[in-house]
Amino acid sequence: MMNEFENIQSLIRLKRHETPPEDFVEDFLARFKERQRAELLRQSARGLLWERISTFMDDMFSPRWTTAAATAAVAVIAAWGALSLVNGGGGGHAELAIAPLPEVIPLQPVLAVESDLIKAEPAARTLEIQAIQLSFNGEVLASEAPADRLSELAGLGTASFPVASEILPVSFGN
Amino acid sequence: MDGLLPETCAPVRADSGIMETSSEQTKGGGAAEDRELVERAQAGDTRAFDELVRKYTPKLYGMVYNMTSNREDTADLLQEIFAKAYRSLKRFLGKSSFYTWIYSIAVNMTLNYLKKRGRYAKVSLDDVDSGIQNDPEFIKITTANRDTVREVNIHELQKRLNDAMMKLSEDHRTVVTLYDIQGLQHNEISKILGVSEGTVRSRLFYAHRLLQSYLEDFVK
Repeated sequence: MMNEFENIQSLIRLKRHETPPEDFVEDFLARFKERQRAELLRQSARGLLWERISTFMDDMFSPRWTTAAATAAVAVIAAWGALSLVNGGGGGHAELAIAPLPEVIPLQPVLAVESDLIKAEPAARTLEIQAIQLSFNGEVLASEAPADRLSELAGLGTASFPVASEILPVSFGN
Repeated sequence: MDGLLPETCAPVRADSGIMETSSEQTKGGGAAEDRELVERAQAGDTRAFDELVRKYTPKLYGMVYNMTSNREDTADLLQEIFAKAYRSLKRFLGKSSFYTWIYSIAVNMTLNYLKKRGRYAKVSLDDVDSGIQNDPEFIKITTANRDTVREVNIHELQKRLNDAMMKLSEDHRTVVTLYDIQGLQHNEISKILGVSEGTVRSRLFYAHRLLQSYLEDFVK
């Protein structure tokens, strides 16, 4: 049975007579090999670089620690990012970092004690208790020394305190 | 120029009265030879791949050329096709024949190229070899259509055929190229294009009908 398209197929088949020049295949192959060589050179340069990086990274980290370190780094970065957002869009730390320093840094308050007792007290001197005074609401209850003498020793002048105090024997030095 | 395209690239079907030599040859001893060359190439033997390039360049050239109608583009595209095949060769497991595999790469890359190039491109045709004068089909057409074809020179015929091919859609042109010009069978085209044989037959039917209308003055 004759194919209804036989004629058109035969006509189209004539296109196979359109052919490239005779030396096309060998020229093409030469070009292809040249291209392959160039690609191979590029690949070996890239491969060498990659191999060196891989070796360096292998020496630095074992795969298990690399994964753990990468996870930790991601967690830290995520936490930092979250904190920055909470602190006002992430600009807080940066603003502080770039803020100018004050020209004069105020000095910290220092407690200066100017006392002749501390300055002049020789190490070997012994503090002697010469008298004990008991008082209540300013009324001296008992005294083995004159009241003005005791107050003078304590550096309080002649004023008396409303609460009784008991002075125990204390000594400085060895 | 006759010697450039091997018999496998100049297929003629049994119904044309000339011995059919197309892909059947590749399926037999050709397939075993290909397998050996592929194994050697996969093992790093570049000469084996050179042999494959030498063997398949004429076949693939015909396919790409008839799809693009531009010989410079064809040569460039063929370089890309073989370069891709070389890079992918390690992944070729031999589930299909090398023949089908390399054709699939070539068809896909050509279709992608045509999409990028757009519809209107510069035509650059190869010379028609002198063998056409003795081609039984050409003689048959010239004798059967003595009143029309005899008045048209070969270059005019080439132009008309090319214009008609380029009017087809890319899908239709692909099946016509593979079936009518390259001589592949329906099942082979189906594997290469990844479509059913029914689709191949259907596309061929519509493509032939369109070509018949474009070239009706030759085929009356």
